[in-house]
Amino acid sequence: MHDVRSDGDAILRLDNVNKHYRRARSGQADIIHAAKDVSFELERGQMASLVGASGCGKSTVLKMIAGLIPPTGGEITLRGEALTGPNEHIGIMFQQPTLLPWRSVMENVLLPIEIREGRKAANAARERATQLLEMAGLAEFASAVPSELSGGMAQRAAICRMLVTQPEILLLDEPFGALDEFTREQMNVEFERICRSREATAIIVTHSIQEAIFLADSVFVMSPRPGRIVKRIDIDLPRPRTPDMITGNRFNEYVREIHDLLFGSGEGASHD
Amino acid sequence: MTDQQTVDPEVLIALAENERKTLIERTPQWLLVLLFGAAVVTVWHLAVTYSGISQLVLPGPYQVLQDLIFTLNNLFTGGYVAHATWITLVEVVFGFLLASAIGLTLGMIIGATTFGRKAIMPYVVAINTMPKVAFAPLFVAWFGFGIESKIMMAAFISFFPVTINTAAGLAATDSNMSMLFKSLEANRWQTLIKLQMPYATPYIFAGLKLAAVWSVIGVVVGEYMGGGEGLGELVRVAASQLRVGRVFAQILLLSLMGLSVFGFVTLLERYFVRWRR
Repeated sequence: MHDVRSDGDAILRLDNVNKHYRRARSGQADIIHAAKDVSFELERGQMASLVGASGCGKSTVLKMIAGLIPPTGGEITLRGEALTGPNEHIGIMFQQPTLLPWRSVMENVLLPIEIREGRKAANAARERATQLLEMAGLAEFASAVPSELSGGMAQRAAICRMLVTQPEILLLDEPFGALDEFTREQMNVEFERICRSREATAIIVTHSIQEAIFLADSVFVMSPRPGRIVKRIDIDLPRPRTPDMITGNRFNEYVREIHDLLFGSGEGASHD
Repeated sequence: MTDQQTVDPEVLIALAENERKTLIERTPQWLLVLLFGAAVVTVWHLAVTYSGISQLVLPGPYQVLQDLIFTLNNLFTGGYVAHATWITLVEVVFGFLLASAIGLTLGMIIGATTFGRKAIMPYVVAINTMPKVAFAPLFVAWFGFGIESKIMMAAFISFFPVTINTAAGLAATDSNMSMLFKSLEANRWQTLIKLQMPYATPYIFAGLKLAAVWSVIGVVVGEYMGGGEGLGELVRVAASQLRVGRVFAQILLLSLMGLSVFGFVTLLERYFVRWRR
């Protein structure tokens, strides 16, 4: 459906993006490459996942795109314009739902509008927020407080909050990593449906190979220290993705390929 | 479920024996409190009666009860105790409000600005290490013998816990929530009002509760040094006349006053921090 190789109308583009930290330890300056020469581009409506072991810099890459930390080299462009900080066209969510516990679910969902455009605009957007909550199955929890929600419900509320400003790019930092296996699979299915319905462009950071494949058109496999992209694997599975695909042959071939890239190929690795 | 059928009966007996409670454990707490209090009063009574301690130094329980009844009677019939209690209450409430205002402002400056944290915080800590009671004569010299010097003394003694707790609460903001606000391009003021302050309310109320109790101490110290018409002055006069029973009764009133302000702050806390289960 998407020609992921095309470089014509990329909406987001990373060009040799680097991030290194200087760590002074016992006199010697130590340079840690959290991300090295990361380059890729995404088209509108494309979903990509960044997969790698913990500490490989995948979250760093995501936070640089979100404008939360500045890169030390390279360039990130959105529709050809350089990104230098947080941007209203980019929405992000984290592993924790990060809902403000003193606000109702509805007020939490409206928070991005309230901050960017003021309380009036937030009130005017109530209908849109209600539709989002309905889509997420949270309609009757609009006036509940976050402590009344389960982990999966709270994360769905966080999705609604990310979507309420209708950002062009969605960034998800291990969004379902804190959930149990059943809820996680269910969330993957729901999230894929939501993204399809809005033709969202999304980058999902995850350490779950299955999740990376299930959600993405392209999986970027990252190696640790220095964190760089070792391979891009395009996932040729039909949309919408369904849970029974996970046990299918094609899916498992992808799993094996990524697994081998991340952990070496078992006995085969002995001869380098 | 199948486990229950296969449990060894001896194990059950051992568990039951483990759960056998002592007599003290089975007695309700109010009864224990009452019994212990009665024991203390009895020892007190016996000591005063048989040791030959002068009534002027330590009156017996009966004498203290009489003084308490007199004091309460005077309070509720609008006598001089009522007037003194009112004066002291006004001083405590205004002292507490002033301490809260100073503490919140200073705490916000320290907690929300780098300048405050680096330049002002050391002074606040330095002031706190001073024995603040020693300043009482100065406060009388600066603010006179009226209620002003007592209010200032109370505020001076109790602004510190509010300051420190406000600053600590503002600095404790969840890092994920800070990142969320940053990604939403929230400005400093929005972050302070919509995130940091609400997040800090449990901390702030912990400080306010301390301040509520400490402001009573401040007022009493102020009245000891600067006279006036409050309960502290009554205590000082009664003590100088060796009417120890009256002193006890008046201190009880002061303690009830501290408890009332504390209770009021706790009610406010229940309302403002109700999101914290």
